[in-house]
Order: sequence, then C-alpha cells, then structure tokens
Amino acid sequence: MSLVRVAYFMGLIICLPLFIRTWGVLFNAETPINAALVIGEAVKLSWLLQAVALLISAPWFIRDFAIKQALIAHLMLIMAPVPFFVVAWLADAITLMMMLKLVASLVMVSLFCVFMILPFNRLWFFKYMPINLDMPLCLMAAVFIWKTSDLWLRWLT
Amino acid sequence: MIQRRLYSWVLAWIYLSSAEADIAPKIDTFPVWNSRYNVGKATEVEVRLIAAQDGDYVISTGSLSANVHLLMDTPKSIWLPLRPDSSGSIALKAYKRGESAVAVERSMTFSAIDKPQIVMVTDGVTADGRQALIQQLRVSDHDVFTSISAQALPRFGTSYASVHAVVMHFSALQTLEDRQIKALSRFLMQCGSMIALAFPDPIFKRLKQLSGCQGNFLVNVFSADQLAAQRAMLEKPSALPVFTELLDTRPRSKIDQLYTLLVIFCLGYLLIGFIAVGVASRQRTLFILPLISAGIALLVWGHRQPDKVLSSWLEMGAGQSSAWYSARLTLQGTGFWRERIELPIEAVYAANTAVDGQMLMTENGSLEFPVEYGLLSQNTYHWQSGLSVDAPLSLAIENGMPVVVNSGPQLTKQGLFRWRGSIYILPSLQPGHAWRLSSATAKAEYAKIVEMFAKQSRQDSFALLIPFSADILPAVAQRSGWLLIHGANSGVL
Repeated sequence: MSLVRVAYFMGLIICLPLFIRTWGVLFNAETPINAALVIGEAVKLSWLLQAVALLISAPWFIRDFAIKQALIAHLMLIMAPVPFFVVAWLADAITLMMMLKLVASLVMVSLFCVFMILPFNRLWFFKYMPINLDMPLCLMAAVFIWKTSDLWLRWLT
Repeated sequence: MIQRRLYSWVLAWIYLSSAEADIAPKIDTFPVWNSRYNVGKATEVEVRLIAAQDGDYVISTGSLSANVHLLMDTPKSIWLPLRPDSSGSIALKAYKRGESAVAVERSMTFSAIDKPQIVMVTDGVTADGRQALIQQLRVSDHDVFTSISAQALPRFGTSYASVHAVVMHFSALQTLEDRQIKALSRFLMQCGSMIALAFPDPIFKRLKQLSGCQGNFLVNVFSADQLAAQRAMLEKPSALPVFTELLDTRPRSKIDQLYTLLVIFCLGYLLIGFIAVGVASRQRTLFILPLISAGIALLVWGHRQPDKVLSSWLEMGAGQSSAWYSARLTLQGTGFWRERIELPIEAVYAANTAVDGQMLMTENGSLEFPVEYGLLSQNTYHWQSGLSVDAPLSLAIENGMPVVVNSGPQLTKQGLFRWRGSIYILPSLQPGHAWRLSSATAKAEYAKIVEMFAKQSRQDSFALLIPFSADILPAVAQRSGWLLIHGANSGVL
C-alpha cells in the first residue's frame, strides 16, 4: 500500500469514531441540544488526533520514504476530514478563519516535524546510536501537544 | 478684515448649531402603569415627539427601534414595548433618519414591584369611590394599587403582564382607542381578571364571551359593596398552563429527513474513502475525493431555507369566541440562511427569550429582527397569548348525555372526548353532523396526548380535544396543534 493510501486511511480512521460519537450525542438527545457546540468539540478533538498522528507517523515516513512523499502523505492525512470540517462550518460550529487556522496549524506541525527530524537523524551522535531517538522525541512532542491541547485550541479557535 | 472674518465664522457656527438643534426632535416619555413593572415582564412607554422639520425619524432603546414620520410642530405619540432589566433603567434616543450623530437622549427609570398590581382606571369613578373600592379589594398590605386614566392604558397586550386585575367603569371603556381595546381584550382572553363597574348587560355579555376561562375572572358590579362577594375572584391563580410538553406535538419528519441526509453524506464519504484506499489506481483520486465531498456539502447545505414549525395548544370554553393558547415556534436551520423575521411581541418578550441584533417595530405592532441560521441550528420561541377563534365543534348536553356537533364548514379530524373521567375517541365529523357518546364508543389508549388532555381537562365534567391549526402566524407553513374545548366547570385549573 502506498504511503498516501496509508495516510488517507489513517485520516478516515480518526474521523469514524468521532463521527459516531457526535452523531450519538445529537441523535439521542432528549432535549433540544446545541448542535454547533457538539460538532465544534468533535472538530477540536479531530485536530488534536490529527496533530498526534502527524507527529507519530513522521519518523516512520521519513525513515523509509523521500521527504516529498512524506509531506504529500501528511497533506493527505490533513485533507481526509475536510468534508467534515465543511459540515462543521455550515453548522456554525467553526468559522472559516478557524477552519483555515486549524488546517494551517496542522501543515505547520507536519513541516516542523519533518524538517526537524531530518538533521536530527543525520547527526553522527544519533546516527550511531543502537536505537533511533526520533520516535521517542516525536512521542514526547505528541504528549506535550495532547497535554497542552487546551492552550493550542484556545489560540486556534 | 480679521474682525469681519471672525464675525462671519461666529455667525456660521451659530447657524450650524441651531440647524443641528432643529434636526433632533423633542421628546417626552410617559411610562405605563405609573412606571411600575414586574422584573422580567414586558411593559411599555408612550413617547411623544415634536419636530421642527418634516421628515422620517427613528426612536430607539436598547436593541429596539421604530420609525416614525413627523410633521413640523405637530406632536405625535408612539408606543414602545419594553422589557426593563432588574435595574429598571431605560435610555431612549431619537434622531432624524440619517442624522444619528445629532440625537436627543432621555433616560427613565421603572420601579420594580414584587407582585402584579391591581389597576384602577380613574375615569368615571370619584376619588371617594376609588378609596371605597380599594378598601374592598385590599387583601394584604402588600397589594399594589395603581390609579391611571383610561388614556394611559397600554396599547400592547403584553404590557398587561405585570397586572393582576383591572377595575374599570363603563365610561372609561367608551373612551378607549381601538388599540387599547385590543390590548385589553388580549388580557381578558388570557383569563385576566377584570372588575367591570356598571357595564350595560349586552356589553358585559360580549366581554364575557370574549374572555378566556369562560369569563370566570370577569365580573360586573354596580356598587363597592357588591365587591366583597367577588374579592375571592382576584385570589384565583391564572388558568394558563405551562406547556413544556408542547415539543412532542411538533412533526419531526423534516428534521429527521435532514438528519438522515447528513448521516448518508458522512457515512457515504467514509465508505467511499475506505473503498478508494483499496481500489483507487491513482493517488490523485484520493486527493480529489475529500474536495468533491466538501463541494457537495457546500452545494447541498450552502444556501437553504430554514424549516419553520409552529406548534400550538389552544383552550377555550364551549360557546366562547376566543381561546388562550401556548405556542412554540421552532426555526430549524437546514443550511446557511439569513433573513429578517417578524414575530409578535409576546414571543420576543417571553421569559428566557433573547434576540440578537437590532429589532424594528413594524406598523402592525410586531417586532422584526435578523436571524442567522446554520446547519442543524435551532431557534425556539415559546409564548402564551389569546386570539379570537370560531370553534369548529359545539358541545351540548341532551337527555343527560353529551352531544358534539360539527358547526363549522370543514371536516374535523379524529380527536378525544372526556366524559365523567374517562377518555373516548371522538370520530372525524362531517359539517353539520352530530356525534353522541354511546356504550359502543371506544376508549382512548394511553398516549402522551391522552395524558396531556387528561391533565388539562381534569376540572371538567366533559371536554373535547381535536387537532387544530390555529391562525397564529400565517407566514409559517408548517403548523400543527390541538384545540381543547372545555365543557362544564372549566377554566380554573
């Protein structure tokens, strides 16, 4: 399976449980519910999961594929939930500016991650280590984003 | 030379200043009920304007504004419905259209009272007579009595929200304007209490027929002494019920359709995506797929009219010409849409209702304001009021058994009938046809609507309930509702 297919598959897999969860909340609500709030929360969670997926997948992608391919794959991962973002925008859950900021921030995460890992892996110290350290570092970055997600999302939304 | 130039500048300044002063109209304000109001309830103010120039003027307070055309040096009054906050402070601004920078401002303060007041209309009643009436009506020291002239009675039915009872002599009724009579009628339709003083019998009977709760809260007295027997009437609670269950009566078909379409879209995209991952021969296909799906979403829901549903529950007494009702308007967004809607003041100033944007008072006394819809957005307005209704069915007792006659021109739908505590199915009736309860009549099985009917008619020995679409908001196409006609012992719940 090509890298782009894997990335798209990952993107869809992230969307599926979020969609089911959101739909469950909206459909099973016995009293009138603010759909925009529920969908907005799902969009935020989707952004968080995507950012984590980008960080975790970057070392694998770079190790076995060219940078261009890795970046295209990340773009695919970012694009997978775009139809859901558009639905969220139509539902007034996010503004157009918010949507652009969310997508742009994911692109930034991807670029930052890819271009930081490359020189890092080429350093002689890390090159001859028995294990690759890029993966644990990306994991730490993912944990950092997860733990500080409130701040990021407050800034982005 | 310099002196002459300075002189001309001063002259120009004086001219411009006086011109500016002429642009703004002069205003006087006269709050209704002597400025007394109940917090959270609507009230109103009469604004008397006089302008030095002909033209269109705007008067605004908070988010409400109204347009008025003024003729030079001709005073004109405009009545504004208000809902002051707990501080009771209201600021008014008046200016010539397009000249908002040159505005005249007034502020006024309403006094909050804890309980609804008893209004004494002074026309036709002497000061001694009023004192005698107040003595008879006073139950506790906390009762609030407000004396006003007939001319000062409100023009909007909503302004009676902070009134418990009105005491009025027939001579006062004769001086009322049409709008005041309409507002008073609206108050009576909603089971408002009124003590009519020396009303002629035909007029009183007409008022009684118009009043809600079968006129149980309307009495006619000819002397203060007669009031003692009627005082208990003022202590009765309002008969209007609160219908939190009204939501259940609205049709869900269109909303369900929207939800189904959204599920199909979202699941369809996911499914096609997963299939494409496996079978697409080109990577480009995978990039195009989300873009096409987003485009479809924009096309389908980008610009779509909202779904408006009005549910109502009306109640009236047999033989009455008006009903008191509870209505719920649901504006369901089915995509992006912006429009201005017009709603009655009762809907906008109902408790727990907030409107975003600037409201404009229309000529027919409704409020117009902008509404923005999104996909799945929902705006709900819930209010209670009264309206004139021609009952489609009439109720009578013949030989000790109830008879229902379709007195209207249209076929009535199947409904429910209550008789001696049991609820039966009332069949659909052709115009002119009668229905009699018999031992073969089927009893209604348990359902939410049966439970609601039983609750609302619990004081009645007989009553009926039929599906009925009231003429509350003609602009709303989807209307559903129920009409409960109370038989005997009705009204007081």
